[in-house]
Amino acid sequence: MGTKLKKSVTGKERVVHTLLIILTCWPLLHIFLVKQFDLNAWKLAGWGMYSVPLHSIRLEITQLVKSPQGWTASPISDSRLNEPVSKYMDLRFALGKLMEPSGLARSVFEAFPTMDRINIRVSKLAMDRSSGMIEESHVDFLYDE
Amino acid sequence: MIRDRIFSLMDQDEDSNTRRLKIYAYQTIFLVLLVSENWSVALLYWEEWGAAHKLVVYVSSALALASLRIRWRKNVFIGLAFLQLFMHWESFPLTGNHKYLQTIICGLLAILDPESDDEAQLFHRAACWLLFLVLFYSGLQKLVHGYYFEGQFLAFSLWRRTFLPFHQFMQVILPAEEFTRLASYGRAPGAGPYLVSNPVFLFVSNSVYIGEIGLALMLLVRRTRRFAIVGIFGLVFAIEAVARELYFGQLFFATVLLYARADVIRKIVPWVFGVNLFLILMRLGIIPLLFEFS
Repeated sequence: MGTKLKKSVTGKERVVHTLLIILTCWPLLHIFLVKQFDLNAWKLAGWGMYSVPLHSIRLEITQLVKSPQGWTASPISDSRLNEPVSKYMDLRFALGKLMEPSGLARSVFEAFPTMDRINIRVSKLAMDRSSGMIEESHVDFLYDE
Repeated sequence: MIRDRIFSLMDQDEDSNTRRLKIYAYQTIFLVLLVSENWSVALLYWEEWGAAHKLVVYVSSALALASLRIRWRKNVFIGLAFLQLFMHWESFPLTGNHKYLQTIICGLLAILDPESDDEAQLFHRAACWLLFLVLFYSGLQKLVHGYYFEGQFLAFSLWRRTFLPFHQFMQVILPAEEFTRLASYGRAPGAGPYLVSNPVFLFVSNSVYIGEIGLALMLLVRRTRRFAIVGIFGLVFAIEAVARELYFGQLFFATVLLYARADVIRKIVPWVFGVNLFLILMRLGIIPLLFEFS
């Protein structure tokens, strides 16, 4: 009985110590992911809340249609896309560049089967650390059906 | 092993019975905070919530009541840990950081029995180490990202309603034209610069991360631990006075008290009940909402 109890405590000790080691190392990886991939410093247990002014995300989805003059863009706005857009914006807000909008693009093509090409522009409004200015940056994602 | 030597830095000079009593007091505080926060959020969002969320609130409350029987506490925490994991799943990746702390502590309370001396010591070490990590990395993240060197983050805080007491402080320490300049900027592209050169303001701004890292390291040394506990209370109180994340603040305070003598954490248990009852009464509208909080 004594040996069984001792083994049980040692097993729990191993689990707890492993957990603590992971929790000790994870924030270092978190810092790297924030710097490299725009991960949200306030989320995902990196303990970085209040370290970076909170940014905001904006999304624009446009249909691209080929014409003799080139490509013409027309914005897409439809209530069928509200849920997938909202879901993607939450993911992008937390996970940054780790989340590309390919799932959202699939939802757009499912809602609008006649579309051939769309562009999803993800805009981020954030403070530049050295200038202290609020800046907007864009990333465009082009998807073909 | 090096690992054991590092985690043993969390140990106190106390007997096993004292440690056990501390952990029971901590369990009680944890349960009060969990239920209070669940209902506080529920009262704000009840109409929007689905049945699953509402069920979580009811079940966690029932489990907390069941914990009045000390013998049932282990199972209570097992149940709560599963509920916490469900809530994480629902909110991921937007889960607040304090929820991670809550879930981890809940998990530790579920698997470690304070009646066992070895497990009580293991829980004490783990919870104290967690507290150290949160404080240390909170400071390190601020240092690494650099938004406190020239006051950028605090200057930008003018946009947070709950930071109103800090705005009043800013008005006292900043020249009037400097405050007016910062308050005139918006959040649109091109707004700024949110840079401050006032020495008093910069001292306050840089003190935040220096304080967090320094106090965390002081916790590791027994000789400086008492000063660290007092310093942490002051720092967290100042932060929560503006951030108003009262549930995180209370959990943090309670975990800090694991570093102190047993009777300290036991004495605050009635206060925790009182404070959280007050917060719930404010949410219910029975007492006027004196301040916003989360």
